[in-house]
Amino acid sequence: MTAATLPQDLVETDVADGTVRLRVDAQLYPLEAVYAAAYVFIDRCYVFLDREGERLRVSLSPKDGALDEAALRDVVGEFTNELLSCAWRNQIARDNRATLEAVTAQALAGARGAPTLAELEAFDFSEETFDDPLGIAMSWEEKYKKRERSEAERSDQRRPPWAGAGERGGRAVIELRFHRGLYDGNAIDAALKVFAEHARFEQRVDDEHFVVAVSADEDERVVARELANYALGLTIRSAKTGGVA
Amino acid sequence: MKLVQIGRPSATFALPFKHRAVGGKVLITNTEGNFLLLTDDEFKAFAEGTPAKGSELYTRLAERNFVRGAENQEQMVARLRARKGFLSYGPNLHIVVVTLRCNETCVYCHASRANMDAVHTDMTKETAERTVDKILETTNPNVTLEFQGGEPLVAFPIVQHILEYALEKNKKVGKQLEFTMVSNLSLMDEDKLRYLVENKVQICTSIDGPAHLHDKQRKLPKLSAHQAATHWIRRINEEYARIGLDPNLYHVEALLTTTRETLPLWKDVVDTYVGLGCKALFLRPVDPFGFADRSGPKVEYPRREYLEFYRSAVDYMLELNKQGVQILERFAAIFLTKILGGEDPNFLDIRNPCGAGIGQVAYNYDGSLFTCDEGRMLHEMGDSTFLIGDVDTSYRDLMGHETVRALALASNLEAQPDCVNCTYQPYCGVCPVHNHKTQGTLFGRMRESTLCAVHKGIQDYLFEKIGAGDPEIVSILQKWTTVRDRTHFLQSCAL
Repeated sequence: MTAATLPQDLVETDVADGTVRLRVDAQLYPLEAVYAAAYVFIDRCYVFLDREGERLRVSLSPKDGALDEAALRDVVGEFTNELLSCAWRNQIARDNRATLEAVTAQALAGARGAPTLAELEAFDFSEETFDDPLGIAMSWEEKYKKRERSEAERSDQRRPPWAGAGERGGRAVIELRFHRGLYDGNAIDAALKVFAEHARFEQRVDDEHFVVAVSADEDERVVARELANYALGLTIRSAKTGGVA
Repeated sequence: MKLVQIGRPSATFALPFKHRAVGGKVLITNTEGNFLLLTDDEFKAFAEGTPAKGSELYTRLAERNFVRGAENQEQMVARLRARKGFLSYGPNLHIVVVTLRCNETCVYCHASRANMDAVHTDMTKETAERTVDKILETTNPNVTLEFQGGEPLVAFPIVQHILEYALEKNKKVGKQLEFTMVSNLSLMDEDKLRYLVENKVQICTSIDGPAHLHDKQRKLPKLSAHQAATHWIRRINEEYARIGLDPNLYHVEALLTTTRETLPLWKDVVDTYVGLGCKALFLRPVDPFGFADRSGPKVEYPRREYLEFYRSAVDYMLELNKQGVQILERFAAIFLTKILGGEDPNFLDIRNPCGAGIGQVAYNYDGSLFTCDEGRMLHEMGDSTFLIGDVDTSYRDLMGHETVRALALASNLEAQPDCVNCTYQPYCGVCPVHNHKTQGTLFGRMRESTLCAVHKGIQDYLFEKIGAGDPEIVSILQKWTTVRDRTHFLQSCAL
């Protein structure tokens, strides 16, 4: 299927915003596959995930600023090909897990060889918990009070995640709405700390989303999008390794 | 497309297999790499599970472990072990870039060469020694140290220092050590030649075909790059003969980079190589690394056209072989060693999993280390994804680096869509660095991969030739799997 023939109820382009949105059937494409495909694209696009009922919504904004319909449809066509590949790979990796683990373990053990006594001596076998002075391991619910979304926020759900979503001090700010079922709160926290020198943030949590209001003196839109990519990347890494490093 | 009409497939007769229509027959392969080319009727009988025990077809199928209940498990294990023997050892190929400087300018230069005044890209003696120290830490008992550039003859004192330091250090380490050098040969002289021959350094060069094409693609200021290279190929081969080496076994190896302009010149390319006394020709397509990325539109071509070129060239080589000329195609030899020989020749780019990190390491002039030469090439283009450390990083940390682990997984064909069901899986391999460069993902999508198109196309050609059943051709292809004696180049095996 070429991008030009992707069904209109699945793909929606917003040329003015340089964004194309794809609705993905979560029954057909497991979240691991969506994460994997999204990760492949975060070097060339700003990628944002959200839920829409039974579907996942993937927003792709090419970093090169592609602003025409054909270019956006090419991007989403590439993404759907990658998504299909990731879905299949997810399945066969499960099917062939024993072989994959055996071959990889043999290859790495063969290449690394046995540890030296010095390496064994230096290995940390302790199970003590790590210090968490920045509160990264603390849940968002603990740190930020949950509140009901306003009617205005509910009606804003379909807008691009980086669109101005409110005003602060008479100035529009960008609100990022990270779906709690798709993004790791610790990953968002870690991303906010990395981007703290570039922007100011206000955080809250509602029924479905971790909400981050972004305000920056310069390049606010780029900062918000980079922050979203960073949080997505860490979330995916966390899903693979079982925690934000 | 012709379809084989299968009535009711048997769920119990066959052991797991993969199949593909090739040259009017149906090719079947299994995990251990056995294959059979069946007629449509034979394939129908196989799929339906009707071959009678003791029949000729049943026997053929059973002998190659395609029949459930008749399998020879010891043989299966032995064949799998032979194919995966490389998994027990670490990197054996160590590519050392002694300088990025080069006196030639190639239109497709994959190495991103530097100008001759860029002396800061020469490896220092200190870095060279730490590089050798790191190389000799490998768990592999066999070590090939390959001098590359740039042009290694530009930094010949460093080549000498590395070689002598490695020989001295290896007295205590005891690796089976080999040296090779990839050079354009234009800076060779009699003193350097004497040193390289005395120290058993195997010399490889590049020949892009006939002089006019070679000189157009490989610019040597004021001189003919082709003339320089061919002069020294002949001179080196003379020297090998003078010290008593068999010219059929010991000669300069040359590599071709196939560009768009090469395609119509397949006969001239083969004739050039035969005329130079080469016994092997590697019909390598251009890669998307280095200057080739920028000059892509000028040098690139659809892989369909490349495969036509490949078929014409190899058909011609087979005809020459029939006339007694010894010339083999390297891609074919690699695949045939796996297909007919049942062994893996450990060619790191067509291996499962690939050799990135676990089979080879590339050492840059500045002491930085990469999973492979392609990874280093990308680094010179500004993408350091495949940087795994430097000469001071501990060996075990290098081999356990997350990028090395990722590449071992990403190049495992059991986890690769398309490859997992591909008939050629037992013989094939993918390159995650190529995938990363061309598709933005280590895993890649094989249906859109130019590398996959080349590998599949070449194997289609080879199985067509095998299936056609010309005994003379099959005999020639079988000879191409012979591993050439190179004991002279082993440092611990003096003549």
